[in-house]
Amino acid sequence: MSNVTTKKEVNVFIDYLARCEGETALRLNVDADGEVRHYEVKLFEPPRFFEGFLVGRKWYDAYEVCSRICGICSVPHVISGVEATEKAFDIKPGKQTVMLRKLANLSELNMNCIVRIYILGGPDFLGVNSVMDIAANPATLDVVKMALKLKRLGNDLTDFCTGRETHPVGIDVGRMLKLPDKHKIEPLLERLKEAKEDAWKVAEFVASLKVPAYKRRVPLLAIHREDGYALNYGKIKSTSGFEVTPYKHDEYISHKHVKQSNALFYSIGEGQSFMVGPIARVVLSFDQLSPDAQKMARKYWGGPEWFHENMPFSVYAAHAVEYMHTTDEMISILEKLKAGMDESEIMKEKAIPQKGQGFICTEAPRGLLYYTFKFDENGDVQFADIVTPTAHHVHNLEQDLKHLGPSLVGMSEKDATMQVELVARCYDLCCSCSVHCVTIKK
Amino acid sequence: MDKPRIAVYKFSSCAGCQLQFINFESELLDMLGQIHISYFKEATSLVEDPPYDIGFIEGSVTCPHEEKKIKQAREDCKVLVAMGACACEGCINTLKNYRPIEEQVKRVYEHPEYIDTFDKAYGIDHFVDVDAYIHGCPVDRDELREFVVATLMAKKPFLRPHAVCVECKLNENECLLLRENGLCLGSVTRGGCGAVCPSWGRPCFGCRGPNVDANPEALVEIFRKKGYPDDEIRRRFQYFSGETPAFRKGAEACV
Repeated sequence: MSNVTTKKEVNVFIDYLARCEGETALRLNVDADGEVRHYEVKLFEPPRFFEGFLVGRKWYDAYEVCSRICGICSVPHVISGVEATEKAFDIKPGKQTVMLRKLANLSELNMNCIVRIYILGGPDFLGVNSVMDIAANPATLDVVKMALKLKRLGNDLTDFCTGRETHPVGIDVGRMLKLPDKHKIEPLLERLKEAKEDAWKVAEFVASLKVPAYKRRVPLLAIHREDGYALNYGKIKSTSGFEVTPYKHDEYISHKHVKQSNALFYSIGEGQSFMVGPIARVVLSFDQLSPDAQKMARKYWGGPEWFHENMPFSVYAAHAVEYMHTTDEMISILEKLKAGMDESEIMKEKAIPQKGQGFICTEAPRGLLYYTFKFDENGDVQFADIVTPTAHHVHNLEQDLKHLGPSLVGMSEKDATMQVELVARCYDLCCSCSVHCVTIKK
Repeated sequence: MDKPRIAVYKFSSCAGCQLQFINFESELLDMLGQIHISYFKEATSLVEDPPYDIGFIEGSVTCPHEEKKIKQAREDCKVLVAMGACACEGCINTLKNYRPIEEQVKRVYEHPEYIDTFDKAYGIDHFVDVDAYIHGCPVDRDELREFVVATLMAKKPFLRPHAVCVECKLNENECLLLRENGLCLGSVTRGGCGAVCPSWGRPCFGCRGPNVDANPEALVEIFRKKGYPDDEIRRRFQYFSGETPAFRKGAEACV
């Protein structure tokens, strides 16, 4: 229970944040007067040196290995690696190949929405430890059954177009290695149409969650294009006004090593932290969402402005909206595949390497992801650079801790700790991914 | 009988293997009727004190704090299972083993002095005794299920000892090595994956480690005849399972 009579300092230390991919520690210290003395996010995931050991490897190892950066979002890592390689080799993939990659990306994002709402984030707002606890309550067992059914569908779709749901197999430089089994299209379409009905229940579930009042609006960054909901091939757009071709990102987005934290801090303008990911995509590409996704966002949450105003907790609503959108877009892609697939694109020869450098920027479920590969004339990697969404997020999460701090004075340690956890989980930190911002204190 | 208490640990890895537990989905609920999750950070905030009946270890040990953690896990778990290639063979974490570590640290981090890492990465049995291995990057869900079910029934799980080639032939695939001159390690790699990669047109890269009667030197000879230079063949063996004795032989056979 909160101690309301004598206010005392708040000391929150979370040594290993649960329901988050990888290992994160958080520390927040606020004195009795509400002055924040210390705030820190520490990703203590051990470094694995992808950018180090890739040097000297063959080009065909590079994207295959990069899949292993993250088990949850292996699809965007593979696709980004493949597309960076294509840029370097000056290869243009065929239309159908691009469409199948898009399907893979969408299926992965679709599955991730469900994981976030029901498995990683949802338990917080129902006052339980895990999705297992939600299932253990007979009153909510059906909620879990539906969630698991929808999650399986997302996984089955990744499996359908790439051969495996974790670490996809069939995506290759310049081609797909195999076409999906056409006999699976019709049953998947039926399940997707059913999932579209369920998507409204997902939205209702999210709308019913009692999230904390805390909110803080910061600039949002996402890839954007006019002709569709962008996951790749677009410009980086920000709510602060700029829209740039991705390879110019470092003119607008800076990073520096900050002594206080030892993390790389990503900023725009004069040290302004920002957010990427679902909220950014929904706000910046609202007009590109499917009609039903827009309808959902308007019906339950009013419109794009609400998502920006109510960050970071609006992230779960953004997941629901993206669930609807990805379901809709996958239905339309499967309808196209049903009409016929072109065998010629898988018959293409293995890529021929050439000296060059390729840069690509894509949207992983958690937001902006950059890949740079540089190869010599034999196709051996000379340089690799990977910047993940979580790397972008550490700065802003620390800022959130700082702003949240004063409101925690007077709370019990347990309640204050919970508030910090809730805010941190909005970021969906992916520490396996963030090879760039490992912070290890001496 | 009480449900066995399960712990799922993460070491240096991508978290893709522990994800396979969550990917059981509908079966997960049935499974939860038979087991009790005591420690599984990615799935639950609940943390129960050890001892645990079965500990599933995902990831390699790559730095001093992980060495301490794995030794503690060994003490805390009656049965310790290496789950996935990182825990079994070291997987892609071992790629750093073939270059000076200082060079790699400098390449990635602005302040190398903050980085505390071992020069080389290995599977967890480099540090502790391991009771069982579930191979693959990621682990195959059918095999993971087989393992869990057999263990619950106190039977020996059937984990396949034959080569990936066997499963590839059962799938009636054309051979990638013969047809496309692919650098396929299927003939020296343990099966159990259903030959998923070659079935999708991707040559096997040996994530499941060597099969029982692997003959890597003979495969090196075949790759040479196909026209591959030795340094490319060596890198193929020094890949997902490069620190296993058999694959080391393959790499050493290259000049």
